[in-house]
Amino acid sequence: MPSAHAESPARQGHDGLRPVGEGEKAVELRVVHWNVYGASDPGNIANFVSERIGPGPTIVCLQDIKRASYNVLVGLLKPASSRFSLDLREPSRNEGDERTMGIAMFGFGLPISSLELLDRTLYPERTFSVLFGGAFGPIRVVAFDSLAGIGREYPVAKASNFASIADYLQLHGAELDFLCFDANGPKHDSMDPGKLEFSLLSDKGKVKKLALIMGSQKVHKLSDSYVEYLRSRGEAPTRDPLAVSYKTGRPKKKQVEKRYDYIMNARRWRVTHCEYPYEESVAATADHSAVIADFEPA
Amino acid sequence: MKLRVMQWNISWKRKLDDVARFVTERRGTAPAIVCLEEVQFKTTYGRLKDSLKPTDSCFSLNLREAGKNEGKGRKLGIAVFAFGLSIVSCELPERTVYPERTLSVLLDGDSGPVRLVAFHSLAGVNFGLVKSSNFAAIADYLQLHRSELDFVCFDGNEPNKDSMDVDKIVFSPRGRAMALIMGKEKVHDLTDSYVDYLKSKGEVVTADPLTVSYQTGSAATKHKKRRCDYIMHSPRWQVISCEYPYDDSPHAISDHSAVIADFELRRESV
Repeated sequence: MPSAHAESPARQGHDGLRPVGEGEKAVELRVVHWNVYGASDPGNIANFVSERIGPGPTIVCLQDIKRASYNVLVGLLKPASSRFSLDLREPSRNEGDERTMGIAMFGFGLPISSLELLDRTLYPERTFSVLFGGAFGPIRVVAFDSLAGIGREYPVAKASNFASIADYLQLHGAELDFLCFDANGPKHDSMDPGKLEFSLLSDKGKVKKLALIMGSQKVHKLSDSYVEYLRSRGEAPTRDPLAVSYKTGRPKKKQVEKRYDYIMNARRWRVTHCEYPYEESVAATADHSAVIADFEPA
Repeated sequence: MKLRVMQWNISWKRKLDDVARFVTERRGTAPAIVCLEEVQFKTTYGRLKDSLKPTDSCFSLNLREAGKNEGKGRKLGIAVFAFGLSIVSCELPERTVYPERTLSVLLDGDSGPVRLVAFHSLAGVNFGLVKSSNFAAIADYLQLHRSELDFVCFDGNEPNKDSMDVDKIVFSPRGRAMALIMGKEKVHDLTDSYVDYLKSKGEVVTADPLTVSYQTGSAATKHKKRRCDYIMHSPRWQVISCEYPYDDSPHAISDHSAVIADFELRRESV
């Protein structure tokens, strides 16, 4: 098992992420969002995360985490604070494996002040609303994992779940700083929320439920951090997807590249960097890319 | 001390006047608990309440209002109407996937406190894995409250194969957790009221289903008869009669049969 945090190379910076010199005061907040896939190796996950912990305060949000993996990750990463959604809703003896996956939230250089599940959602343990404290003041992060899987598994429930999440985001709109999620959508990506296409067949409403969270009918004021980052650099790519976070299908068959994973930020934050290190994420045994973004108060 | 229990998925497409008329005709003169599923919107509940004039009533959507972004799928509730009994408390089994499609009610009357739990399965292929997950969460609730339960009323959208022998009931792959509620892995002490009634008459029915409460498919396609609707009762009650008046016209009102059962409190329970 690696000793994850002690000799973290990320302390010297990573890729395009700006390093902080000795004695320099950190003014940036890093947010890492990653659906690691239930069967991933927690040692590899911890290594990947520890290499990408920012020079300043960092929030790491991991999804598809089982209890045993969470315990290993806490031991390896040694965060300043951590909480796990399954602590708020333990699976019962009659519930199956699908109720044993949760969301883990880790704070590096940040304490956790309070937490709750989005109780009105269908699978509350696949959601997490965490209030961090620290130098930046209160930071509210809401995370959720879509009810994904092959279409037949959750067709109606998936849309219904998005609607309940949208309700929560609408109700707490003024308090939200970051939203981290695996949406299992959209079908077509775009820098323009109005051009995102959502394809859930069972969602027959005029307004698709996922559009309430990330489309043109968005019920909150957060925006897609990657798109904001591209704009800040004067880039306007038209490729679909804008970046790869997941590939549908099997490696031996035709795969379709998708951007299913998102960080969204409130206006009080300005994104200074955002990346999807897909290849390294998959090499670390996940099936989704991490999303890593740096922010400074706007 | 007699008590009538009626369970009925009235179908959201029903004509309310027909539903109210049927319930009024069938609720009897003894104390009765009427449990209706697929009651859409508060207005429907209000109209039924006005028509039926129960002693007391409660509605699951009063305990979980649909959110402004949630669609019609979150506006199907369960209504319980009590005649000659009062309702002491009601709650939703909160850990279920669609809590508003469940309702746990504590009533009080001449027979003492009566706990009735009602639920409506997440039916249809479109619910996939969630259907079984919901059964598991309901089973948890029944297991936790097993010593308090008197009746469980439900449209289970199961089984695939009916039988008087719980070991021979077959559930669909997506409904396998229903075995915790009415199959051989049952986590509570209640029994199928219709089966107990047949046994009390010395009847052994081998037909599948034992009786009809629902037909799958459309009129244009070949129907498959099923028994999806149930009343289960605790050992402190003895079933006196139980019927599925499917051919007695309620299917012209709803797509499900009502289940109507009369119970008597066992002497040792008094």
